Amino acid sequence: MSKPTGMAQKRIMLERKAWRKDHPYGFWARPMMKGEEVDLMKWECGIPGKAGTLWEGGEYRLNMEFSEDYPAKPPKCIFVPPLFHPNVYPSGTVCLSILNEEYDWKPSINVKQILLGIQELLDNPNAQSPAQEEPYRLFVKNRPEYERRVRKVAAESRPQQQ
Amino acid sequence: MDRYSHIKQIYGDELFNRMQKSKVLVVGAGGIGCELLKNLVLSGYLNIEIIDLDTIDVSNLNRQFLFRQQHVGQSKAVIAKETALRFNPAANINAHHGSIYSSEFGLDYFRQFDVVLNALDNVDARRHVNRMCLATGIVMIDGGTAGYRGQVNSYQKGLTECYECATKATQKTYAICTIRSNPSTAVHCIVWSKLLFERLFGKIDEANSISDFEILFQEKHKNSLDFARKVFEKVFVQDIKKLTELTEENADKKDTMWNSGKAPEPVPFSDETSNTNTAAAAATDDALEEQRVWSLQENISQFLSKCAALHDRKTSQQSDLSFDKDDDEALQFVTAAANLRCFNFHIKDAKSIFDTKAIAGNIVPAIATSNAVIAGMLVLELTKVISAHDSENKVSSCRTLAGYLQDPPMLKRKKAPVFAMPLPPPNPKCFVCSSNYVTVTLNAKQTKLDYFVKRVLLEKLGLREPMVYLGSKLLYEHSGDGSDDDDDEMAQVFKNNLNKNLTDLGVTDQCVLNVSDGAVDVDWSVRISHDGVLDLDEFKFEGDTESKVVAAALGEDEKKIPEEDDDDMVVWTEDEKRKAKENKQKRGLKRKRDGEEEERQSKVAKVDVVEID
Repeated sequence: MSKPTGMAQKRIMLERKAWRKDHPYGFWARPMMKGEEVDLMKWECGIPGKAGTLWEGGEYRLNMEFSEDYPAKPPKCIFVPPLFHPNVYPSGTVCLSILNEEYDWKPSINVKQILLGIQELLDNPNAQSPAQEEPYRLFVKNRPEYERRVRKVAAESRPQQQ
Repeated sequence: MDRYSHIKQIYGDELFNRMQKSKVLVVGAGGIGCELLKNLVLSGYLNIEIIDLDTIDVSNLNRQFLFRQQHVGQSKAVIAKETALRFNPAANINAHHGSIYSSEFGLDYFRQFDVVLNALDNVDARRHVNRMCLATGIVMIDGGTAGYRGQVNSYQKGLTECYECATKATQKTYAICTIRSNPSTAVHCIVWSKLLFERLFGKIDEANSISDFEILFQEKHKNSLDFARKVFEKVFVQDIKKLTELTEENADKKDTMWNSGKAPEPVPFSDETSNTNTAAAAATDDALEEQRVWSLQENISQFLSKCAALHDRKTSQQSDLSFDKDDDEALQFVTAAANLRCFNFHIKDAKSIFDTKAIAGNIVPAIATSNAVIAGMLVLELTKVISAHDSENKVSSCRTLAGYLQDPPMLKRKKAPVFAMPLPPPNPKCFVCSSNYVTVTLNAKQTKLDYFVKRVLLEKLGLREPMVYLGSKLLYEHSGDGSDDDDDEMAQVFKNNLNKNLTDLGVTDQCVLNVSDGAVDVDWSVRISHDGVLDLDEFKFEGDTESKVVAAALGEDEKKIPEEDDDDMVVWTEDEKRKAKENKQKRGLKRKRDGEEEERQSKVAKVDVVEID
């Protein structure tokens, strides 16, 4: 017999419903396929680069992994493939205070707010929590090169026509 | 003399007779279950069923006293029954060696009991029993201990909160940023150290990103000690240097950005300090050795020798290792690595092997006395329930009982070792006990999901855009107005699922399907009861088709929905129903637009719908 539905799944369904009713322009998010099944615990998302920033024009793919303890604990957000960004670990994992149980995560934060928060982080890296060496170093030491690299990433991440 | 004369004197004949006639289910025959079963038969409870899927392990014998050495390997439930019968041969105990999740313990099974007593050791099983008791209306009394603390709670549907009304404390997890680059406590370092162990000796896990070992793994090593030295250089020297270099540019913030208030420092490492022989010399046979904190020098040599030994083991076994707190080498490795990392980050709280074992193994000691106290309280609460004359409210004299064999550490003032609190009322936002609950009996092996959606969800329950899920599997979702951007692949899965039998979708007897509606905010829990005799186009429905109004979940202005008995409820016309729904949706959308997020606090707020069929 399968595990009983818990708070996590109920909440994810509510997030799913809310997202389908209303979500910010250019973003998408949906549960992922696991073989022939649709798995509520893992979502794939697309975050557009904000207009007027270096990231404009790109769409950045991110996986969101929910645990059985969600929403007491935040989902894990991982850029796939890992993104060139000072606050993204080489594994792709995003380091952001609202995604950290010990800092600013609150169970009331919804999927929309998380994705908007990550979009905001793209152009506003946090120099206090370096996660990836190269982008961090360039961001601090060689801003023109950093900007060139980001524009390149943006150009390579144009969304495919659906 | 009558075995029960003292009990009759205390309780009187009437209550005693009730006790003897009542039938109770004990879930779990472990630490609390053993004590409980003994207490029950000695108190005069005669009709008992006990379920446990476990077998007896040597480590149980210090507290699960119904078991002896010769019982190791046998069913807990069966042996508990045999031993308890020797306390009172008149008892009628039925033991089941099986899982409480099994469909043989379905709703009909639960209905035969007056009370269900939980003596479980995990949250999932408690949730399951909670839901079975809610579905049948049986009183559940739950006992649990953690070290010196314990608690007993009584639950009755509609009167008290259910087991899932309040969020349970979860084990803390740590963000990768804290673990990887900015630890501030010894626990962070131990978590890191376990990850290091898994990374070096365990299964390849892409998510484990504590350090980059690709190059190191590809290099050739002279011997395993050479490998250990390279690992050491990398994680305690090079990685730390890199971290500090990264932040040197922020000269003014250089130190403040570190949790410890000081930039990390590499472990001093030279041929001299890496001499592993000092470890062998330092190790003594002293029984307290495990409780001594190693010096920096000892940590270095322990790390190198254990890292080399584990590397050898992995190579010779040709298989991945996984961390086990009872594996001495693994534990010594983790202890040394955690302490060295503490040194890196100026955390002045290095741990002994003994302390590391408790933290790394998440050990909470099981204490026989705590279990005994809690089992005693369980029987007291049970007797209160049995004595209740009001069949509608059986828990009126029950209390939440908390026991502290030690002073609770967070309270300065001395507390009584046991104290009682009134039972909390149901949480109107609880997604379990305030959910709409129905049972549908059908032939699950032959009924297609399509039929279930059309006949049960759309026609019978009046849903508009049903979404069906089972655990974390999304089985079906109404495609809505077609404007959403979901991919075809998912739509195809839902289409395929509609043509599958419920059983093929994993929906077996006594499964609960969760149903939601994309258009209106309403949730249903549909228990599926399989009946092979039924035809394809037949189903039996049990429950109320009207969805419950959950006023407390709404804003002030929406609380005015009249709470009336079914009989004199206003009957709405089709038009009124439609308008109500539209308004509801508008309100829902408006709330979202305003960004006025409801204070969910991990409780799912449900918005109502009044529907009359």
